[in-house]
Amino acid sequence: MLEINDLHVSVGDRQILKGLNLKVAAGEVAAIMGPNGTGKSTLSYVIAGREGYSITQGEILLNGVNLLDLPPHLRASSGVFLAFQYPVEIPGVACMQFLKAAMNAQRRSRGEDEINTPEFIKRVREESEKLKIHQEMLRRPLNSGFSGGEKKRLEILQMALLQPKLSILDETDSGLDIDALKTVSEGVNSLRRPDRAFLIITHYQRLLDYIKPDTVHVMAQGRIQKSGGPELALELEKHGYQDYVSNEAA
Amino acid sequence: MSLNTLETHLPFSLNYAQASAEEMSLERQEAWGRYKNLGLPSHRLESWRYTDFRSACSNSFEPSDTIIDPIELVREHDSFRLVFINGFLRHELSDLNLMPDGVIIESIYDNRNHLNQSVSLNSNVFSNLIADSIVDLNTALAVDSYLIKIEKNIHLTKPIEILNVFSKKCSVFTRILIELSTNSRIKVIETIKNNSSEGVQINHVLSTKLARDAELNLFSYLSGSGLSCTGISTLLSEVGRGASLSSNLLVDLNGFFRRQVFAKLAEEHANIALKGIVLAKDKGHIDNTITIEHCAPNTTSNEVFRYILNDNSVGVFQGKIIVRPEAQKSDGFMQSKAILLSDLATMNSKPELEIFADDVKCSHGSTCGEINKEQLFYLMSRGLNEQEAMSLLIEAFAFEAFSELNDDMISDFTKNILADWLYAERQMS
Repeated sequence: MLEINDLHVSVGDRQILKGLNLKVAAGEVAAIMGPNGTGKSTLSYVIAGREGYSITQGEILLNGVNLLDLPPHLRASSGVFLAFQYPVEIPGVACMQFLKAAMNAQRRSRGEDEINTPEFIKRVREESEKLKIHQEMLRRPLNSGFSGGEKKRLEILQMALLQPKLSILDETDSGLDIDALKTVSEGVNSLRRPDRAFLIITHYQRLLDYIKPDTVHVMAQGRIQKSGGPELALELEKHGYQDYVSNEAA
Repeated sequence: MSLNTLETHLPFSLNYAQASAEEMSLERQEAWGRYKNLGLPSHRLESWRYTDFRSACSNSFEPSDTIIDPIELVREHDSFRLVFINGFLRHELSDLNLMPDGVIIESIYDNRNHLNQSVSLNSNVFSNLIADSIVDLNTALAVDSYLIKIEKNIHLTKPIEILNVFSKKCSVFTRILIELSTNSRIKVIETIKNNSSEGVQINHVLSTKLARDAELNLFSYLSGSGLSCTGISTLLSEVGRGASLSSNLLVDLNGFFRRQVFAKLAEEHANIALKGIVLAKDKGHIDNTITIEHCAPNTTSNEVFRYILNDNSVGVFQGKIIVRPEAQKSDGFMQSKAILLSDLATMNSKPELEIFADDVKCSHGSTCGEINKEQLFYLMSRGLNEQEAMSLLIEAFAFEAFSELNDDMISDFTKNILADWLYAERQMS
């Protein structure tokens, strides 16, 4: 489903991704782990299409289409979803208004009919109950004054409503207490399907206790250094990233 | 509208009312005298430094006349309507005979063009502080002017609409007085609509006086697709004990325009809220200049303005809050924010606080910048294209000014105007 080949990305003079290769199959949950400052968030932003990165080499294919040729909104409508590490506060835009605008924008891009209001409200209600989101929260402005947990739950709610093919979770576990972590993880697990892939970016093994990955990739110094099964995450938890960082330095 | 041309225009203006210059009423003579001393405001005056009105009015137009243009008007609001075309009340288009009990409308001037005995023009709401030659000019020259008086305890839910339409090249002086008696409550929609393709010069004054516990909800809409509208709309207000003036302004006008407010919180627990959304494009120049005087204890004022500026347009916000020594426990808040959609757009913002009491709460804030890129990317990453995302952000930004607006009719109306404006800007870009 997702295929990243030889991706080189820099910000200003600094090269951040230095020939990154990664494959994620449909139905797969892939975890990317790595130390701070290694380019994990850059990778997620570059896939989603944020401005400010210069891509000097490589390609990002989603089902054969090079995402780098598409503006962010068309990446979204072709199935990419990024759950932000720091969801952006937008005062003045009500959650419900935003959710409906997003769903309809994607539907329009795909040439589908817009969702009608009763159907929309029903879907939001179903999905938000699963995530223990109060209806009151959805009447507030988008992410405005939300707690860390509320913001992350709203990200997962968006994911559930938009039903992306590829979901990228950028440190979704950061700032969550244990209960919220469980709720969010259950939300993600309920969305797992053979035709969807997940890319989970995290520092810690903890999240992977709740969302079981199929593959684990160690990222350091702008590249995937090692790939393996879930056992790799446990190994990292024990030994840290030291080996991978020093490898590069040598 | 240079001084000389105005002097030659003056007799013509008075011809409407079959009076000669010598018969000018005392109020008019005095106002004219003050105007002659001061002249049109120069940008060397601090309160006019960003708006060079004198240059903008270097070409003076003929005063408006009563020649009736056929005109088609769509009824945009469910209201009791007073329609003025080029400054003259058009009875056949107005709802004068439909006004509810407790609403009295009378001409300010008698048939000799003298001020009616019962009327006080209320030109200078401040004790001794404002010398505004624009208001003086209006006092001297306004012709077809009316007083709307609301009697005690009258509560109207249907708004009174004052619709000023300009359809030809002319210079127009209009004046409306609104007096709210004790515990009366009304909504007023004030619309200035420029349809003139050759330009128009407007000097409009709305003077309001609120007695004890009265409540005036004013929505002012300055609009027009016509070209080169040059003008000033002045809101004068004196707010009595426990009374409340709420003014929401929406500007979507091509031209050079200043809306100035002189308001006085005259008695305890008086309250003023002034909110505004300004949409400007091309070479538009839109100025909001506000002076609020807190004269009594426990009075509150609140100003929130949002500017959305495209192309070469210029926005000006000047807010001055004066707190008199006796006005302890006053609460004043002032905020203006601008989004510049073009590199060539300009925003000038100047807050002024003059506080002479020691137990008050006064604050101000001002920002000016581009659309927030983080917010834009967030929305786009969810599937909204750039224009949709921008529109959503701009609408949200603008509506911060109307966040306390509790009127669906005005809110929906404003949303539609904003959507049309954004759509038009999108087509242009």
